[in-house]
Parts: sequence; C-alpha cells; structure tokens
Amino acid sequence: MGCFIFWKKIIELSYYWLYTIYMFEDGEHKTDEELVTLTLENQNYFVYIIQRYEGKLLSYIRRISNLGEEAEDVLQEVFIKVYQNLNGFDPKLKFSSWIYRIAHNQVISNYRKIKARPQGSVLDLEEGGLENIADEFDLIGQIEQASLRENIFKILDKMDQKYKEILVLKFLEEKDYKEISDILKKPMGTVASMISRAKKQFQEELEKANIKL
Amino acid sequence: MTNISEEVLNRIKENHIKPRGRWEFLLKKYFVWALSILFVVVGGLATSVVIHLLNTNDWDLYRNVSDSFWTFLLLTLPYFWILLFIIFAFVVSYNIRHTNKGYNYPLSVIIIISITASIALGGAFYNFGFGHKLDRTLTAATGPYNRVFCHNTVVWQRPAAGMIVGEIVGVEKQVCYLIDMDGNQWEVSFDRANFPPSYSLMPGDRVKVMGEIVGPGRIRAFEIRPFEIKPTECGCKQKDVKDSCGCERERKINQRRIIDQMDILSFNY
Repeated sequence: MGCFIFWKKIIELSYYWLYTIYMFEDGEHKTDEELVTLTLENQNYFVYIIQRYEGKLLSYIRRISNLGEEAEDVLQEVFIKVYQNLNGFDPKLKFSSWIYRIAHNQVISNYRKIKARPQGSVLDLEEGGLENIADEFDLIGQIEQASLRENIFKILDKMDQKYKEILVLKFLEEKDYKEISDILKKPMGTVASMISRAKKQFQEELEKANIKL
Repeated sequence: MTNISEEVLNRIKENHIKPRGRWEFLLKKYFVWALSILFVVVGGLATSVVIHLLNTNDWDLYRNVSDSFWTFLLLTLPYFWILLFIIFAFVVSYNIRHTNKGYNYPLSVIIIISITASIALGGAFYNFGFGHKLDRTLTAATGPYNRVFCHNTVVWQRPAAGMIVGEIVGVEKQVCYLIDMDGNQWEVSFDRANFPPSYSLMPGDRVKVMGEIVGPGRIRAFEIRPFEIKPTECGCKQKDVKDSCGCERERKINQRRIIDQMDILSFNY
C-alpha cells in the first residue's frame, strides 16, 4: 500500500513538472490573451509576447517615426509600458491593437521629448507593403522598378504625420478599419475619412513631385 | 532569446518593475464615470435654473424694458448659467471621450448626448423646484451672484427709468417703503398699481416695482411683482391649462393696462 502511494506521488509530481515545462515550451502556441494571463502569473512568459511583436513593432515605429537605431530604445520602452499595464488590457480589444496603440503613444511621447519630428526617411518597405500601395494608386505596372520604393518613401515622408501614419497602418501594417480605430482611438467614420484624405494627399504629392515611376 | 527581449526582461528584473494593479485601472475607470455623472447633474442643475429664470423673465413687459424683443432677450438671458451649462456639457463630453470605449463615438454625438442628458435632467429638476430653490439660495447667500449673475436685478434696478428692485421694510394703507439694491430707501405709493392675483405686500418681501418717479425717493407704482415667482404661485393649481385659468387672464389684462399707462407716460414726456 505504502509503495503504491509513493509511486502515485512520483507520477503526480512528474505530471505537474512535465505540464509546467510543456506549458512554458508551448508559449509559442498560446494566444496573445492567454500569454497576458500567463505573464501576470510568471513574468518569463513575457518573452513570448516580445518575440511575437518585436519585429512588427520595430518596423511600425520606424515607419511612422523615421527613427534609426533609436527605434529600438523606443521599442524597449513600449514593452516596458506593455508589461506595466498588462492589468489594464481589455480582453474585448484585440491585443495587437492594444500593443500598437502603446507603440503609437510612445512614438508621440518621443516626439514631444525631442520636440521635433525627425527628418530623413528610414522607411522599410517590404514587398507586401509595396504591392499594397502600388495596387491602391495604380502603380502596379511599375512595381519592378527600383525607383518605386524610394519614391514612395519620399512621398510618404512629405505627407502630414497623421496621414502618413494612417496609410502605414492601412497598407503596410495591413490593419482593418476597426483595428486602426482602436489603435488611434478614433471613431471608424473618422478613420475612413482620414484614409480617404490621406489617399488624396498621397495622390497630390505624387502629381506635384512629377515622379517618373 | 533576442537582444531586445533579453534587455527588456533584464530591465524588468533589475528595476523590479511590476505590472500595475488591476484596482488602479478600475479606480481610474470608475472615477472618470463618477465625475461624468456628477458633471451631468451639475449641468442639469444649471439647466433647471436657466428654465426657472426664463420662465420668470417678465416676457410680457419687454416693450417697457427695451426697444425690441431681441434686445430684451439679450439683456435678460441668464448668461452665467448658460455658460456653466456649456462648460459642463463639454467637460462631460471630454470625460466620456476618454473612457475605454468613448473613442468609438464621434465627439459631436457625445456632445449631443451629454447636452440632451443635462437638459432632460434639468427639466426634471425644474419640475421638482430645484431651479427656483438654487437661484433663491444663491440670491440670498451671495452678493456677487445677486449683482452680477441675476438678470432680474440688472434689468429692473434702473431708478431713472422708473424701475427698482428692493426689499419691503414697511407697509401702510396705500404706501410701502423699500430699500433698493443700491441701498437707497424709497416710498412707493401703490394706489394705482397692479399686483399678481392673490398677492399682498409683506415686509421682508423682495419686489420689482415699475412706475413713475414723483420726487426724490418717491415712486408711484404701476406694477409691483414679487422678485421671485414660483411657477405655481399664480394661484392657479392647473399649471398645464394656464390659458383657461382665470388668474392668468386677469394677469394678462393687468399687463395690457400697465403697458398702456407706460405708453401714455412716455407720450406726455
């Protein structure tokens, strides 16, 4: 009888440790919301959130801020803020929208700190983003041209920050209206009209610059 | 582990950074809502005073007070309360806009909703008599409110035009004595004066007097009205059917008479 209880305990403990290891190893397969809950219990799970979003957020920060290496500092601040505010995350919202909102706010806060909008483009435009913009503005025929990418950089850089950001979110980050609304904290109708105005401004800049694509 | 994740985790561990407690977020959320509700209530109170002041604005005598209805309106609008109402409506809108879900609604919609809520609440407060009570309390308690914000005083305290506001200090058979808003004493003869139905002069009453200056510190009144009129003080219990109410008809006849008297006076001058 004693032997049975001993082995039962051993099996239970093994199961517990295996389950814990599995859960931690399996962090990659957890949803964002599950990771938030797990991180609040064990901060090591935060690694999975960072790994999942660092690439996306770094390019988003670069795209909207024109920051170079400083973008990584901003990104670190974003993750620290995310960690500090995990309890404030509303599960009714998409986690990605929430984390993008924090990144957006951190970029604005960074602008205020340095009191100027940095000049010079460091926009990184992936093929997907390039195609989206080219498709939207009937430039798909010229997509193979090397100058297209550079010219799109220039035009986006000339645009008002709010319009530039909304085009980045729509075409480069491929966010839908609801997500953009949640990130920028603006009503969906406002987002729609801002996108429309941003597209108009992009078109005007395109014509004004008389860029040969 | 990437550089960024390693650095972030190190910073969290080294600086002992902890997630802020859930209670902090809940407290902020409830605080914003509680503040919004409080401001809607204050906006409602302001609205109830506006309704009260507009309702007791002596619209029927506008021709004796100013050149046109619009001048009278501009002279007598309760700007202080309207401004207070607008400020609170915007503060409420700002607060609601900054709640968790507030950004989903256009600011214009939020402003319209908060204004509507304040007006609806103000109507209810007015029905319960809060507008009158608040105005009366402030009038009795504070000098600046009386002088600056209470439109009745501004319009009615013009002795040169035969209009004074004051408190009755003594009543005789055909004469009463009052001290006006500027502290001057007046002898008011009211043998030809019109009064609201069921109204009799009592020492301590605050009244508005319209009449003719007949000498230093002496005025012959054509019209005497209480300074503050409760909506139900006309003597008629049927508030909703004022036109069929006898006292309302009598009041209108009196108004017609005083207007005629004032017209004759200005013609003679």
